Amino acid sequence: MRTEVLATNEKGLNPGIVQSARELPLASGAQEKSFIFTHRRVTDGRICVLTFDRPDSSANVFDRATLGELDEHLDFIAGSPELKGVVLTSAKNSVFIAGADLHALAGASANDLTHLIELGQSVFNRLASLNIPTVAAIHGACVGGGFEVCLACHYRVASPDRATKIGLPETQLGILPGWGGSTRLPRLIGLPRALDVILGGKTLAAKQALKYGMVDDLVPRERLVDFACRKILTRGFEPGRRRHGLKLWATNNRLFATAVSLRIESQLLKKTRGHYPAVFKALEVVTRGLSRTLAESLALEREAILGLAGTEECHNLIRIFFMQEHAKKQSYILGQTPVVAIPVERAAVIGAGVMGAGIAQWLSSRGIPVILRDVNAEQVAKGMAGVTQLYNEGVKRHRSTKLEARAGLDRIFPSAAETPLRQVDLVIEAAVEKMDLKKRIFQELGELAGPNTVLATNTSALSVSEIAAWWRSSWRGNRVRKRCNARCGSCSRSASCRSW
Amino acid sequence: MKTGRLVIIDGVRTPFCKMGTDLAPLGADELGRIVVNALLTRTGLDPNRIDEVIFGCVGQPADAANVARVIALRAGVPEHVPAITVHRNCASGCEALTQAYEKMAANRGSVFVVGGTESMSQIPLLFKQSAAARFAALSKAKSFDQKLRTLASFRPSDFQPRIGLQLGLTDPVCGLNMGETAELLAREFGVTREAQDEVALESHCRAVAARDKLTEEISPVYLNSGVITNDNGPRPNQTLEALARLKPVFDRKTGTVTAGNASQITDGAVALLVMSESKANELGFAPLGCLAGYAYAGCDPSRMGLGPVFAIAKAELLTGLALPDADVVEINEAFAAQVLAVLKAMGSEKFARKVLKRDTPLGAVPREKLNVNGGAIALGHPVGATGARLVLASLKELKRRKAKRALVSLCVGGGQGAALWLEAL
Repeated sequence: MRTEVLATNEKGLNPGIVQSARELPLASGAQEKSFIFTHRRVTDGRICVLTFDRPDSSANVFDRATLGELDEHLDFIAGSPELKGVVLTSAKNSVFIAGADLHALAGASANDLTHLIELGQSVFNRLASLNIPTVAAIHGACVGGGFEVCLACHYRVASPDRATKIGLPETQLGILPGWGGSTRLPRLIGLPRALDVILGGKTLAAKQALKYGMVDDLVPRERLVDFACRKILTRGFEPGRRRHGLKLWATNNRLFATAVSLRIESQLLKKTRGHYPAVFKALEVVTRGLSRTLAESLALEREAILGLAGTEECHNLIRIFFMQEHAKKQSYILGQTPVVAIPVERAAVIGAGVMGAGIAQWLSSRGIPVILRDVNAEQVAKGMAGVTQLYNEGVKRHRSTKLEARAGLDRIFPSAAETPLRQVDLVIEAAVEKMDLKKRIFQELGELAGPNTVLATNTSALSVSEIAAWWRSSWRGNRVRKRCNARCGSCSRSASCRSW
Repeated sequence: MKTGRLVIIDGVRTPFCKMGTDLAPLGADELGRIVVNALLTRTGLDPNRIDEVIFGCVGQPADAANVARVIALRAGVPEHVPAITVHRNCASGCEALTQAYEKMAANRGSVFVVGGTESMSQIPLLFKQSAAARFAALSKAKSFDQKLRTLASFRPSDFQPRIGLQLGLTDPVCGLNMGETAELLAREFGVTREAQDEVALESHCRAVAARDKLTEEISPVYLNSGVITNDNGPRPNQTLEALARLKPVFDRKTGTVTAGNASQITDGAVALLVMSESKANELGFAPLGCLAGYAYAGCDPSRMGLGPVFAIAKAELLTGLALPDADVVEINEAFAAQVLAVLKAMGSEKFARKVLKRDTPLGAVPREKLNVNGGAIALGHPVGATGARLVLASLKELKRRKAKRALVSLCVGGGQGAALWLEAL
């Protein structure tokens, strides 16, 4: 007796909100198995919807427990012949599944790791061998193991949102896709593109992923699950293999694989000078696995990842990753008590040099209108050219669309004359490194800025304390006593002013 | 209830650049965005306080419908602030200002960003209707055979473009080109070629001499290739001889209107910050001046150049302000012939009695009051923007002269005139 079949709510507006198994009334009175990381429901159309929803977290990850739950759901599905299909989805706002739990991975012993890899492979294999259609309904980051579970599904639909990023970044961490990604991706989209994604450790925007064939359809987020269910019921999916048949035939054979492998290996050697063993291993696994059976290829993956996980390169890359993540969450200056960030609605940058332009571009790309001020039109023009160039590069590297870049550029308010700064929350001084000049600028800023404006300097060579002390004395004390820490990502510099 | 005055706080414009030169790559929306951006920077106004953005534009870009809204959003005006594009041909920039006044008077807001924008360079070439029909048929054609047949039906003449600019400058009612209406006035009022060329020369000389003054109005435009800070229309070395050598454009045999004594075709944009007087006091802004009254009047489309005469007469009836009250007068130099005809008509008792139905003529305008820093012949005439430029320029000139009143007037394609009275504060 399964209670989920009784309690279905197919017309739920938000597919993310589904009744979890543990919340259902127990029809039989028997203790129903409760799930922690996933929910399961069965729709009126007898489609089983599995929703990943890790409690107290904004992300889903695969650890042993989650894989175990998925395995149990597969038990249920295998034992329910009336089911017409399976849909995998996530209840999170910006994450589908962010891959394997790296903390668990980093701390695992060799034995644990072997077990984890084997568990993932076997669960995903079970999913792949279901004889009813399976669909991954992807919204949000779908990377690493998160995408490998999608690869084990028959079809993939994704939302076109910005949050949706799809890919296999494992090689960036010194390992390779080991839960079937190195095996299934080239079989799905062909060797050249699969190598591009895997060796580059790339995550793609939804549109790009569609172009690559990594997903089959793009559908708005709110309609993902409905669409997937409807497609299952109407048998509307066209198998990707049929669509890409000719291309796959041309690229996925031993001859092509060997040729490509040789060429790419020499390119990689040039690029990495032989460091980063993961990319070479991944190349080997992908190209060799292609002409073997699925099981053999998976074995190659397993062997390779276990070898790589022990290397120093892998440890260091994972450590860097953790450090970057930590830095992103850092909201205060090290060694000081956390402060609440003041909301910055408008900003100004004084000095339109390389630094000033970089800071202005960074701020404006985050939606903040920025006044970019310098002494004359020629200097401002140089700054504007710098900002434009940064935006153009962003477009070239697919970091932003043309429209987004234009909107960012529109947020720059160039000014070659004295400008009122009363409406401005934050002023960052980024002028030439001369103490006299800086003092003069701050004198002027004191007159132009409002009472709540935070004044900051981007100096790296001069003493912030000296400017601060002088400023405080010249303004008889204390109109402003704030501290701020504007991190400037575009030039990885930090503009800071302390205890003013 | 007495309506308060509408005051002009500040204004700014792009340099005016001849069609196809420095500003050619920028569309009307981009030009407008640049000036509103500069206006907000210069005044420090919190954009949340704006009640509406009103922009004049004649050749509205096909890729930026309601260009005022595009300008507002791109310049960082909040989404909740509405925006409207207005079109009264050459007086569109004035219309934006007077509409702000009317909205204020009707209690529909108190802070407005108004102005005008025009990219004459980007007025498109158009396909003929016959060609458009064939393109439509082609896109509907299904089979290869159908497509081939539709393709074969195209005629070479289908691919001859219609020049949007030329169409815009031709009156659809009387069929005359704007230049031809000027020729008509030159004939009827006996305006000679020499007199026109003298006006043109004066315009250039004054604009060149006023370069520093004009810089006060201008906000630089930053392009990838560098910065544009100055108008490129005024020619420092202009001579009467050079003007005399030019061939008439609109009547090749006996005409008098040349490219040299007509306004230049130019790209540019202007933005003004205007608000009710009480709001200005509340926010602590010191205004340049206020709008003291205005009138739009209609006239014969084939003599559209006389528009200012009718508008100034009407404004006198409405405000009681007469031509001699003005310390500074702007009569937009669409054509030198047209400005001279306006001056003659305003001074003529016969014209006053016969056409204006009044006993006395409007009066004379001394040269030292008229278009003192050069006009559209030197600076150019981005049609949607000019009206707002004249308002800005004359207010700044009043400040410089410590004078009281300015009269701004324009002739309007289609047979209209605009006259605005401004007062320094």
